[in-house]
Amino acid sequence: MKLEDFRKLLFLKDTVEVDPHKLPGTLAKLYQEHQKAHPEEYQARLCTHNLLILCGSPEDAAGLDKDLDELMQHYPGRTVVVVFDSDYQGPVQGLLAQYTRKEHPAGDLVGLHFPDDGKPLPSMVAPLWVDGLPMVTIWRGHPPYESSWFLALVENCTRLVVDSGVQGGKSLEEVLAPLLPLWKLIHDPYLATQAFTDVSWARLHVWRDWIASLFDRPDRRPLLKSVESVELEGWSQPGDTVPHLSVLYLASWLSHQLDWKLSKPLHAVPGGYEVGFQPVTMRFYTRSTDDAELLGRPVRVSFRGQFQGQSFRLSVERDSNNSSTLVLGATGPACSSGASGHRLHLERLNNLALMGQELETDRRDWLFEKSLETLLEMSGNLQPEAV
Amino acid sequence: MTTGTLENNPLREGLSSARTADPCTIVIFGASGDLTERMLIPSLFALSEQRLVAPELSLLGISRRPFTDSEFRAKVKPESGNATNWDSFSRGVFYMSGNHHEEETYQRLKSRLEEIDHNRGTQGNRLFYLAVAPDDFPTILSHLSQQGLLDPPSYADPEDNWVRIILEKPFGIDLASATKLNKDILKLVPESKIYRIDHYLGKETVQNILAFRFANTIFEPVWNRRYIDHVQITAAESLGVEERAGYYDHFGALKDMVQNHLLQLLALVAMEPPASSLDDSVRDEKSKVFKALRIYKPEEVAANTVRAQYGPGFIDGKPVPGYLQEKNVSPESRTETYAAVRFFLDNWRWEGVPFYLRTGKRLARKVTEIAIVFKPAPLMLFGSNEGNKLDPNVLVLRIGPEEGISLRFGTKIPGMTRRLRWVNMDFDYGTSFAKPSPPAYARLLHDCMIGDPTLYNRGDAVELAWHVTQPILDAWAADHRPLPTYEAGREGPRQAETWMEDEGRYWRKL
Ligand SMILES: NC(=O)c1ccc[n+]([C@@H]2O[C@H](COP(=O)([O-])OP(=O)(O)OC[C@H]3O[C@@H](n4cnc5c(N)ncnc54)[C@H](OP(=O)(O)O)[C@@H]3O)[C@@H](O)[C@H]2O)c1
Repeated sequence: MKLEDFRKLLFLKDTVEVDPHKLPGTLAKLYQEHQKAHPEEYQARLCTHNLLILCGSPEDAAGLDKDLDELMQHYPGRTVVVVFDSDYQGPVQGLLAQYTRKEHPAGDLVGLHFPDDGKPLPSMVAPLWVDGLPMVTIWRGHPPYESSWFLALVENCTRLVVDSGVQGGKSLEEVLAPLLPLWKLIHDPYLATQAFTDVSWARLHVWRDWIASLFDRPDRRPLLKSVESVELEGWSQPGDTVPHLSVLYLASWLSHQLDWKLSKPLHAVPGGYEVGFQPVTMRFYTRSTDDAELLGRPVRVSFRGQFQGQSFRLSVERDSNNSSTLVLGATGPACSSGASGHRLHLERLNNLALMGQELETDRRDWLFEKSLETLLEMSGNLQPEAV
Repeated sequence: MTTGTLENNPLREGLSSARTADPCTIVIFGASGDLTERMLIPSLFALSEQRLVAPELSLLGISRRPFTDSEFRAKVKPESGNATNWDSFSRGVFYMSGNHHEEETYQRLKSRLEEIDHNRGTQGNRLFYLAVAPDDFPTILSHLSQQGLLDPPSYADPEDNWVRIILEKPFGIDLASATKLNKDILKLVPESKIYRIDHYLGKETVQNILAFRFANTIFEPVWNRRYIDHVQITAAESLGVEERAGYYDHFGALKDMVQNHLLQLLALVAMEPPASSLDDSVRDEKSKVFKALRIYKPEEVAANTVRAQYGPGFIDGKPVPGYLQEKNVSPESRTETYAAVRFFLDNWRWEGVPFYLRTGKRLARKVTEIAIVFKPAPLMLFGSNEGNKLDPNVLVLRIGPEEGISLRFGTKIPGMTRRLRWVNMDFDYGTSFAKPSPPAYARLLHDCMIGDPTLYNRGDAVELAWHVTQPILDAWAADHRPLPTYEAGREGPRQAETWMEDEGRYWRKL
């Protein structure tokens, strides 16, 4: 990739070329120049966070230019985007764009075009971080969990966001492969103050919320103890029956929160996959779609069981005519509610919203960590005694 | 305090919407009115779009005008929001026509509520919102009580289910009426079920006063009479009385703004740190502030207050009439459109520190702010012969229109001189957070549904606030001298300026 292509990949705004090895001085100088240019005004520098986005390849950076431009306008802060380019062998290249709000400097966007080897990176970005503010690192693509320089970057951040579902997977093994290294990272004693999340999990917020709402009515709560089967369905490519990571996370979250004990690990059955818990069976199905945006997202979650001699079915699913509408369904005891059939328009959680969500979170998400662990257990990739 | 039956839902754990409100029915009295259409329904719909209320949430409007459910839904449909979401939400919106003075209305109401509980799973949780004239509060509550509607129905779980009542302002029009209203209401309903709303307290920036004071350690040590010279609380408007003229002419600036909103701001600035934010501690501390406010004797009122009326002038370069020329205002009216009051708090923290509260219509600019003016440094070390003055530090909490916080401090001008320049360090919410604040009514309705009364006024606080304002109203009523006037579009009456200057202080420029 040429520098001009790199510019187009990340920036919508004018940029200047900068020496990537002298960034702290360059940034300080630009700030002073800004002050000189506005001598009559008091100068405040608005900054709420540091953000490092790493793209494993130029393809992983696709579409970032618009998201970054909007992000910089909404969240004042320092952002560094690194794109690794295995076709590029030259020295690291740097570009810089500055953002202001009401004349106040409110964001530097630095792009670094990197050859394949990330070893020098930690020493280049560490001096850039604005002191005392959160340092969020987002990895797009498959993170090099085994590299020491990757570990150095993680040690330096307050929050790491990965996207384990990004590559999908033809087999269950492929889908689950990125999870064990992530679990190990989370349990690294040197990383006890860092928070972690996975985009496939972060996207589930609305789904978890709606599934929870099925059981908000106190008279429905006892039904939770009488659930016999749960069906989970996700969008996939035609012919693909392997459940996507998001759907698996939903399942592990449910079993963890409801304290279901694993009896038979995840395995293929005709038409899909199944996992056995004491006392519930969970089945995974896929529905095919051509819409790339929908791939991997959940379509339906339904609970069935018997309560006081009556059978019930509670569900959250996408409207069959409009995939961006969720519908609540409820039949059986404690289900007289006129709220059954309640619909909610679902705003698609785009990259910008996801990044914003992550920038506003600063705590360890133990629920995510538990769901990850439970998923590894229910797929037979982690023995409970290892925990 | 927060009953939150949802807390027992294991799937709610860790969700940011862990405080989603229980399924309930909101009964709005005054449903055909302006408040319902403009504020209540849009706020509830916004809460539903943000999934902060249960999908079962139902709403039953009552007033005399006849509407079918679908006519009512069409009338109150908000302009913004997603159509699918409104379709779902509005399926829980119902209307019944009825006179709230008649017993028969409540018999129908009772069976309608049971029907809604049954059909929509609202569990007997009820919120009665009284968006009607305060004179009607006791009548409505006594009818509700007679029908047994002030307790959850027999089929509800008395541990988990609830009935709450929101009362709209104004809560009384003077001390006597507020006291009577409290007495009449508390005969029927315990204080724990009553939520007296003041939408001002639902504003994000007002709530932020507490966060600012009690989440930061650096200000609390200087937040007292040793370091603070005085406090100015300003709520200025450039608008006139507009279509509220008829109402305003019976109220005036003191009752409309000072007695409620500005005294609330004063309480938040002056209160002691509460022991907790989860029980009634915040309201306890606010009440203590009201108790410490000095009550003026009739002869002290003139020296501690200024009132005035706006005359003709210019706003945004356009001529505007004076108050007495406004439609629906009596040409002999003596209602003040500007009020400034100096309050003192007789307690250890604030003894001798004046709190200046001012409000007015048709002033130079719309601004609401609290300015904490510190005492100047005891000695000017730097270049007093170079014209440096002992200026004070000022901390400004801006409530609107540009919400934020600024701190003014002195710095040395670079170079060989020893001259100082005063600069502002500014924090602006709008530029620092990407999210807009939720509307005040949405915040407050949600608080009520989850059983958190912190941002609602308690009965004792309302009466205490009237206790300090009533002597001013009485003294003003007995004073027949002509009212001072000020030109519309200016900073206020000249008298207010000299009143401050006589104490060696200055109003902040609007
Ligand atoms: N509007 C605001 O922005 C605002 C702001 C703060 C506080 N408030 C307070 O909120 C309350 C309502 O204000 P609003 O502006 O909505 O007033 P409004 O437009 O005058 O509405 C009054 C409502 O009360 C109903 N009503 C009156 N007498 C009734 C009776 N005997 N039986 C049944 N319904 C009756 C009226 O309906 P019918 O005529 O159809 O019966 C109407 O729906 C007032 O206390 C006001 O001070 C309003």
